[in-house]
Amino acid sequence: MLRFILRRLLALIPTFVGITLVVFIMIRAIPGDPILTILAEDYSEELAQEYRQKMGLDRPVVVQYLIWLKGMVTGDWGNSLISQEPVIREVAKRLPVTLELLVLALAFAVVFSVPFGVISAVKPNSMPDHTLMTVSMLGISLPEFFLGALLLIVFALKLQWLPATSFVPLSGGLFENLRHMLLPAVTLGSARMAMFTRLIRNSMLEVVRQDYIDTARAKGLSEWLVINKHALKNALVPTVTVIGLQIGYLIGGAIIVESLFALPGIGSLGIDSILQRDYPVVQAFVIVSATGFLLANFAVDIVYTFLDPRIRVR
Amino acid sequence: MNNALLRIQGLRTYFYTEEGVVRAADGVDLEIFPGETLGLVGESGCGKTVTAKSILRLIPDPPGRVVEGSVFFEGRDLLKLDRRSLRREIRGNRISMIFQDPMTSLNPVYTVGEQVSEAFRAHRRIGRARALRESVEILGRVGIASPERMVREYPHRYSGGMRQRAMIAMALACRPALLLADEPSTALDVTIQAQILELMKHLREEFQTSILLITHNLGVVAEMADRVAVMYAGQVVEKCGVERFFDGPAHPYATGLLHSFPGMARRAGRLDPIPGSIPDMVRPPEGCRFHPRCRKALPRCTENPPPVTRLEEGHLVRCWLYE
Repeated sequence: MLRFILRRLLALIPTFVGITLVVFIMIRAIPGDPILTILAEDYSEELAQEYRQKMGLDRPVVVQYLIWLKGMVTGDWGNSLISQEPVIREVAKRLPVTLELLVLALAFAVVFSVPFGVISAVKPNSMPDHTLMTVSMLGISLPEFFLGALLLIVFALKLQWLPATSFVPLSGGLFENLRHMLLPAVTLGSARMAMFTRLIRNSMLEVVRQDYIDTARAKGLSEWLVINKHALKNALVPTVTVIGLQIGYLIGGAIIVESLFALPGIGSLGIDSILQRDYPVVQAFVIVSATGFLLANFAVDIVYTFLDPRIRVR
Repeated sequence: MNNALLRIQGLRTYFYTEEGVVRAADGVDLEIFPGETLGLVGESGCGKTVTAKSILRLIPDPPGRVVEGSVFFEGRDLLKLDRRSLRREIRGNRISMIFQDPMTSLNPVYTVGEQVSEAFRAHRRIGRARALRESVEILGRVGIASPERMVREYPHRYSGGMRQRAMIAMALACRPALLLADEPSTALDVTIQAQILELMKHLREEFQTSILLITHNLGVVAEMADRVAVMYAGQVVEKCGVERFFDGPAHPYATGLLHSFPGMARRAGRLDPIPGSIPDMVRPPEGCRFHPRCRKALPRCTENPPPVTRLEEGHLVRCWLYE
């Protein structure tokens, strides 16, 4: 088991290097010059030259990459071109906000989709099934910016149950923090919840036809055990794969949701830095997101082996 | 004849599909006496498995439903029993079932020990540790080598034969009075088939279990059964003792089955298959369901369904030839 985990971890390294390379090249390919942004009206050829030298932007691209990669690994992520602040400090400050948002959104999606999917599958084509499937179709179709705005209008503006756009960190008390995170998490998690519900329903329908479900019933097990023990664990195997892949979309959605709810997370940092062509920050943003995606899928692989023992042998 | 352990009367199990109503079991009458093995034979799709599953009410609803009939077992009609009693007292306790394909009938994500333990824990108030000890014990008895180790393994570490042994262990855990064995050896290699049949014979003596043995392999019937029931298109067309059956059954379909079985044909010199195939169960033929394929069909076979005629004690046939 430990060897399996180690092997999976080692396999992440080449992927990680690949990501850094692609990111580095793509950032350089974006049209626009950061020097122009910094200097703006003070622009002059000499000043621009001086800034380029100071920031290392005059050196060969390969050297720029290697210096930067070394920095990435040792924790020196450079300074923001705009604020001159160390990038790593900014990321460290904002990462917990995004992580909390992602965890809450994913938890919301999973906690509701599992029972919904099971309820749908146990009695297919019944009223509850049709209702859940209709609602989930709606959930999948609503983009975050629309659903978020809708929730804001209803719960923050009209009913005034929840705060609109402000953020209270965990240090400000768990309850206050959750109150502020609820709408963003629901906004981000809804589409995922809808999708997982349909997924779990379909794989449950597949699983309940299997012979071992007949075996479980013939043994005299209660319907509860047959469904929630024998069927559900098998149905979760394909679902977990999709959950892993969906984390990528969640990170993308976080950009929108953080902007909409004015959350000081990685997503809003990313969008600001892209607009300002703040290369070090953009790079850090993409690398952190991609690494998060990698680690999430690594976690999925591990969860997998607990769900399906057949994967462990390979 | 009234001391049957299980008595199925007029069982009709239908499946409601888009093509129409499939009458998978359409008036099945069967009985199993204490300690005997009844071989239920017939072509694929004739309703053997549906009959067995109907006994334990394992028919998936929708699309299937038992629409009529009764299944008396130890004085109670299982079809009218409340779900809770059915689960607690009957399924896996008094009546167990093993399935055709051992590769798919064990849950891949739980250990064999866990799955065998469940059979104990569903019917007896015993703890996890005790159930696991008993699982080791019974796995040993069905011939699993080093059961202490194998009990912790997942099904994918078991061969097909071992899985079927584990299934049998699970089925016999609570010493049932009746075992429904649906093609228990069909999916296995020939040598393993023989081992599994030997094991079932041995356990039948030891546990005094009656067996409903579903098979299309007449060799298995000859080896195991005391009596034979032949099914065709959702109905039992002939019931008799096993010697009677192999001496020469009465129903033309049963005769045809016997002649299309290689082991028997060798004696006769050549294979003599039944022409045609099993009828569409949404619209079965009028009259006798076998008449389109029957060589001895009379004019009235096409018009009216034949009655059941008793040829001698314990020998019944559903055919116009004997009216």
